[in-house]
Amino acid sequence: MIDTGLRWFAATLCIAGLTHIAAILLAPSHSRDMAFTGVDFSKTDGTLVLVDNRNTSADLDPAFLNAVCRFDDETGPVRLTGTMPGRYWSVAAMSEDGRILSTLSREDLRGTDMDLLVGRTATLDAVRQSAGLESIETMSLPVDRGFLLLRLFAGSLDDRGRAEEALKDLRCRPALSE
Amino acid sequence: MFATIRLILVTLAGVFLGLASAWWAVANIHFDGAQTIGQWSMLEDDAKANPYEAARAARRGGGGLGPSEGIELITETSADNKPLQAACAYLVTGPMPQGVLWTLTVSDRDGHLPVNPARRFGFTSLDAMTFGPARQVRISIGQEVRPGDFVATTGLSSLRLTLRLYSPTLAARAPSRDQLPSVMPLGCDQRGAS
Repeated sequence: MIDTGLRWFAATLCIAGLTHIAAILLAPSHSRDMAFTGVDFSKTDGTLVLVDNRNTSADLDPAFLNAVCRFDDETGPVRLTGTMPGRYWSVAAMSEDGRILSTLSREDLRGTDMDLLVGRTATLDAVRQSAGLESIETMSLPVDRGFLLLRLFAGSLDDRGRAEEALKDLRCRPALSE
Repeated sequence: MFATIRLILVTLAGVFLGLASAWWAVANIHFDGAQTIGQWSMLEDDAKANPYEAARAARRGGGGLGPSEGIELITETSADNKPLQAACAYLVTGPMPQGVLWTLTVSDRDGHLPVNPARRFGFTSLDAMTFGPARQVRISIGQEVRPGDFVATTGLSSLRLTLRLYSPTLAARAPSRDQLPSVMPLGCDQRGAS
């Protein structure tokens, strides 16, 4: 009787363990609120889409102006161009499930002019050659699909104004469309 | 017949236990040995090798900081090791890392921000008042307005404080316990506190 009870108990623990492992491993790819997948990118025309707690569930810093740009199989590598504001900013490339793959911040860039090529490692060289982009900052990623998240510090009214101005002029376009 | 019923019950119990433990492990950042500094725990959204961190990042919907951006610290407990409650008032007091852009955000445990007309969700290194040569901060949090730097917790059902430190060097050399503030309890609204 005890042996049977122990066997059933062990079976319960085994099923619990397998369920636990499966739930943890599947969570990133089956999350209900995957990064910025709910954001409407249809009317962007090269501009970045402003994101905050109204259109994304991502846990973003409200002291920043956060904007995203999508890249996928259709766009291929994307090129981010514009002038960055003086105060703190950063660019993060994220996979669709919200994991950060690569980042670039103010300290990594000389000056304020941004010209950044982002995409899968294998496609970047081809794009650089065909578009004649030899001396350009690159962000080489292991994925074809994801998001570029731009954070511009907007902690005060002045900073917010500067960040909004900078955001208006920033462009994120498929690199091969230019 | 009895064996079939027992098999179904064991399977259901196992699945329930597995899901409940997975939920608890993802919600509890101390489960897989997240780095802690005093009462603050470090979030690492880029920890690809750790499936719990990956699940946690997915649950938060992304938006965490990468290593060259800075570090993100959260606390859901006060200095006396009790869970933070939205119905209680707290004082975030002590030093902040010097020469670093920091932001302190008040939210609930799901990341929802408080509802207030001033859209004041926290303070930053550029707008917080500092005191003394160590430039210590004193930021009050609660439902009743307090003098000095204050963030209202209106509309929150739970409480979490997120301290983001923006500097690429911090990922390699995190601040020490005595470079970070503590969250001191100031008392609770008896109607709201459980």
